[in-house]
Amino acid sequence: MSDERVLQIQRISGHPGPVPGRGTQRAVEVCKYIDVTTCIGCKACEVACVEWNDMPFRETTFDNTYQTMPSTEWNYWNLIKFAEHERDGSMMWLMRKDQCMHCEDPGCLSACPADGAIVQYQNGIVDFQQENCIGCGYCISGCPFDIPKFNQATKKVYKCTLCSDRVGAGLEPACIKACPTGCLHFGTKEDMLSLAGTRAAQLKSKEAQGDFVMPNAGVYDPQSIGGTHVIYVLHDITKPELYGGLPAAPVIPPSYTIWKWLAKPTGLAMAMFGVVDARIRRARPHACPAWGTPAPSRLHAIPALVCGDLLHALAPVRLRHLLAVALSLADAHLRRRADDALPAPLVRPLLRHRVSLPVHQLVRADDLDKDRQQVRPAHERVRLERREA
Amino acid sequence: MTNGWIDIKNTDMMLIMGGNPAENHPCGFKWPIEAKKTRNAKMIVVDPRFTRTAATADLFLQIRAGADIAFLGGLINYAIENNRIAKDYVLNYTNAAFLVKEGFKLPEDGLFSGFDATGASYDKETWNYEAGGSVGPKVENTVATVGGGAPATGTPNSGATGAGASSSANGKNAAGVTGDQHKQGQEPSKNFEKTAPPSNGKPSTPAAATSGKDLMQSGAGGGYQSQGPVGAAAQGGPKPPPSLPPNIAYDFSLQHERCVFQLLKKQFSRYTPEVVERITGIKKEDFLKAADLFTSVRKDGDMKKVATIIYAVGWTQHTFGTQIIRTAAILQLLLGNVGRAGGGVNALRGHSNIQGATDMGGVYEIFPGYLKMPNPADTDLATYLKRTTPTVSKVDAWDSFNYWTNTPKFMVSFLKALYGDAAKKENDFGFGYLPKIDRKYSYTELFDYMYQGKVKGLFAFGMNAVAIGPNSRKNIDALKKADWLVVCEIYEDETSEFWKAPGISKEDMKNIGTTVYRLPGAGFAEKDGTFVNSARWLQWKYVAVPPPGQAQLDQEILARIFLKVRELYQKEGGKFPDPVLNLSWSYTNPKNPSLSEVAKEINGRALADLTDEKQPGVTIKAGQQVPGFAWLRDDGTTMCGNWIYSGSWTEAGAQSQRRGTEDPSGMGVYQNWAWSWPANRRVLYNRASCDINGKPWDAERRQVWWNESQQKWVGNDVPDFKADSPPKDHMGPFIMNPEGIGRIFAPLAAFADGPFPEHYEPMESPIKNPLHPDQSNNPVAKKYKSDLDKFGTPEQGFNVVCTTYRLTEHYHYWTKNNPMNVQLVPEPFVEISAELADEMGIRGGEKIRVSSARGKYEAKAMVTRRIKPMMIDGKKTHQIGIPIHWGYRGIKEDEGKTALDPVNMLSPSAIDPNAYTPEFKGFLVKVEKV
Repeated sequence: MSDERVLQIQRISGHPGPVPGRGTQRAVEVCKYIDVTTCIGCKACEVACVEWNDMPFRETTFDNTYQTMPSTEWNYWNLIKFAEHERDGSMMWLMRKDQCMHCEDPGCLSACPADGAIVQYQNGIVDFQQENCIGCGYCISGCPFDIPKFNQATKKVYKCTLCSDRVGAGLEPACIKACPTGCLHFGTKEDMLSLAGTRAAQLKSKEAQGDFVMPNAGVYDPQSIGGTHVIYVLHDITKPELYGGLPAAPVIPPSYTIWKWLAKPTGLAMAMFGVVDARIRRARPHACPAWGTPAPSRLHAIPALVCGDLLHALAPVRLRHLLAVALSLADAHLRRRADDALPAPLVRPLLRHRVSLPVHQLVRADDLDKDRQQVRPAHERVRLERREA
Repeated sequence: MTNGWIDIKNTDMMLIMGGNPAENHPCGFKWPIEAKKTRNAKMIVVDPRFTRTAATADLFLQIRAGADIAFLGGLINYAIENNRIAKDYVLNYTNAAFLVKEGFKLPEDGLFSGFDATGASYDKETWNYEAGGSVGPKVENTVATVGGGAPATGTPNSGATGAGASSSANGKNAAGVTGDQHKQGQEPSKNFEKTAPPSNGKPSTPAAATSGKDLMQSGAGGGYQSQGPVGAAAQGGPKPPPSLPPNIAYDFSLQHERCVFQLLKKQFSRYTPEVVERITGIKKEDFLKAADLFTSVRKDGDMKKVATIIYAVGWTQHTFGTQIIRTAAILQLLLGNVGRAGGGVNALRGHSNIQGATDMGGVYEIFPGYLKMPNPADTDLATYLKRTTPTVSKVDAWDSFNYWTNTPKFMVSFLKALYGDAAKKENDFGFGYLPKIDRKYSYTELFDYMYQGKVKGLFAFGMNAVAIGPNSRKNIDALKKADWLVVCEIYEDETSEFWKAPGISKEDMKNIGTTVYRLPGAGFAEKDGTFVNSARWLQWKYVAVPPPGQAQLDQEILARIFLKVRELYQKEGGKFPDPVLNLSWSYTNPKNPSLSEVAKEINGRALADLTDEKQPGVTIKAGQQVPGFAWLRDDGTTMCGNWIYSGSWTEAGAQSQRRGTEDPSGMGVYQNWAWSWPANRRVLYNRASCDINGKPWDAERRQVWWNESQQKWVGNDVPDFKADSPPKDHMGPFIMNPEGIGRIFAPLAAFADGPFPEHYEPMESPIKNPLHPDQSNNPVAKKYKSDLDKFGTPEQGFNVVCTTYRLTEHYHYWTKNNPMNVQLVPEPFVEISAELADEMGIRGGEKIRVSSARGKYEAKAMVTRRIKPMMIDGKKTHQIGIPIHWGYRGIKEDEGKTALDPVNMLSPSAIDPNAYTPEFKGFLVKVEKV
């Protein structure tokens, strides 16, 4: 059973009014510490992630690299990024485990217009609640690390949960459990920062390293987003970009930070209309040549984006503010939630029915993935037989 | 491994070469990382490619595949030239001071003395010590003075001391064993004066052996003094093999021109940094940097620090593979790193139980416990034991345990395990039932015979014969000629469907008459039993899931075949039914013996009440499990399936099931976790971790030490030594060698290709050997003569050096059947350098064709800067690498997406003469754009 103290909500996306229980207690902040200097790129963490989260097989193709795929995917949340660099004639093969950084100030959450689709627990974990996700994709553009990924079939966005289910039960995340070299650590943010700091100091110490000292070694915990709940020790903290494009100073796109309290309720409202709109179109695909045939996957998100942009343009005349406030108020009576409610459902069923996908699509994402590669029937059969046995 | 996985955390310096532990042993690689984190240990990685291991290294050097001896020889030269050797250790614990026979010649021209060109073999007459006592000036700091006592403990010598010519299949584990209950070694050590006990060179007889009541074991891993392994050593006539002199001549000043140290110095003086650069392609300054770093553990005579050498099949898979390991062993002996925590020569075993397979006689020339297979000249047990039981050969004032003296006890107990009541003293304990090997029966030999039509059938259990062997085309064609083939596997594999290999048309298939029987076996998680890891631990594992469908446990399949065969012999008689009819098969369920029953049988039990005069009051009752190999007898009163495992399942229960996590010393010894052979010792030769007075070289890493008040060896580990032999007796720490010391010079038949290592080029090489162009290759490496055994030359256009290897993401040829692994690395590829890609005008992801004199291989190119062209002997040389994991059966293969040849279509059947390992690393190919 989840320990509620561990998964106490800190922040909720698209949510007007106070967060239930906020400020009443402060759970320990958790943190994953990745010592990149001891990562061997074995991908045990990738496999553990796929298996713990029971994610379906994903077709991959050879791409002139040891990296499993170009970037994280909706069903592949943990990816080691391999990068080759040559410096002063010597080779470096950098392997960095890429996953959600669980930012203290999460861009995805700031950007998300759907009430309760993204929550941040007091322990720092940023978690997506797919049942509340409206598939608008704002979180994708709001993330400075390019982590959340959209699933065409379920029209929802997915990412690493820092194994909130395991952490809630007092376990370490699956990737940590699987790591063979001990390059992955998990604990309180305080402890992890201390461990990482010690390791960085060791790498920087001429006395300890002799000729192999790494003067630029350091801890990656970007303060531009308030720090992260996944931190790295890098050989060279001055050039994080070398590690598969880790941003030196990640920021949430300004449009989200500036307008996050105003634009989001508006966007939500517009998204509601947009979904209705898209459904109409989908029912009559040929009626709307401008959108092309069968509804593009993110179609329902587009009206919201369009509206958002319009509002943005209207900002100077303050129309946006007015509209936003009005809509929020209009929406308020629909959202009455018990104060003790935990993450989901944060939205009343009626609302959920209207803003998100039809119920029949709320089944397991795995079963809906049309891209899923069929395992060769014979192998499938063996697997089934084994399961039965 | 002489040491163990966890022990690596105790090191100060690592040389990882011929292995890629981060990729192929990722779980064990936590310990090198631990050493880096907790001790600031330095890691040097030498490899043809910049691997994932190299990514965590402090220093990486790219070497040409097959140039390892040149590199290591260069290190030896550097250590000697710069006086970075462990002087006391070398003097007292190695044969550096021993004199070599007159007439022995170093291979300046590529040949040692005694080469016989017609038989491509050596007469090893001169590869021996000189007899006699001290010839040099008296030197104070050697112990000397007293010897005495009889042998006490034993350790099989593992690859480290370079014993094991015959040792394991890939030369990795030459196995070291030691007895544990040495505690009982009573032998009031008599103090001799200078006169050595007159070991008169008489071969010890069983009787003589038993009289040494010590019961300890000891094994000569491979370097028995007499004739070597049947296969490796001369097949020649009945001439009695030369033996080691009982009283070796020595010069403790190390000045005599024929003393081992001077010969070694001379041998490796040719391996200058310039020569190293020419051969290996490693720039002189880079080599010197590595040499300085590695030997820095002995800077200024310091003995505290320890360096380890870690390797895997990147060393063994050469026509001189065993000699590469020898070179490493010599280097470690010179630096005084063997027997010490954080030191040793450590073979990483690439399968979960390959160590167990080797220990249990998985190689054709050995029985379980590294007992030698008899050959046709062994007409009776006494003859066999005389040949295989070494006699003490030592320096007069020193003592030698010579643990293999106990060979008769181990052999007779083994025969009792095989034949039970049918093994009686009157019939030589059934010795006559044993097969006698008249020739080599290694994997490549078998397939060569099959290709010649001489071998008619094959059982392939848990081995994908087509894919794993060299020259797959020959293996496939050989199987076509067989009458029958039985494959026991968990997947349909390349072997069981060899007729589907690329290039075989539907028409051709009609002409293949081989009957194939497929037996569905059980996977590793579907059965219990033990795994023996690289650290020699026997660890019991439990069933996770039952075998699916019709799949059966391996032991059930084997048992049912055996019972059927026995039934046929019972009914029909046959030429020689006795061995089959008399085989002991007394399991509770004969059709499906439980593995715990088998494990108990391997441990051994008493067949009569046993007492030991050294342990009054202790009686092992008939039927009880023996506590260890010290209790084994040569009179038929004990049985034991594998003496080195004796002690693993005692009356106290299955030691392999222990999971104690206590580690009082903090050195990762974990005495109560599982059970480590021999006798639960975790670091072999650990007597050498102390100076001659029995004090640890490093007081902070104390393994064992001499306790003066108790008058015995005690410690955090089980002493690998005769427990009551006081330091003043100067018993050598390498108790499995008849000399008692580590062999820098490996005499007689220890190795087929020389008592010292010498750099030879791979069978296919881009250059002539710069040391001796007229003798470029190993003169005694084995080649075959069939029409498919072809070799390519640079002149024919084969000018790229190719090496093969595994990836983390796949496990041999299995995981291509598992979606998760396929997802991680979906397709085969060939790693080539950016420079080669530029020359060829290709980009990453484009298909290329790699061809050798034997076959071709097509796959996409992975263009990388992690491999670079090298200047080899002044010639720009490209290297490429190919992972081995694919073939023509598997998920992607069956979808028609990546159907292709196994990569071993390219590799040659060129064989190491000691371990019979094929040369998978470093053969010649050409690369073309498709």
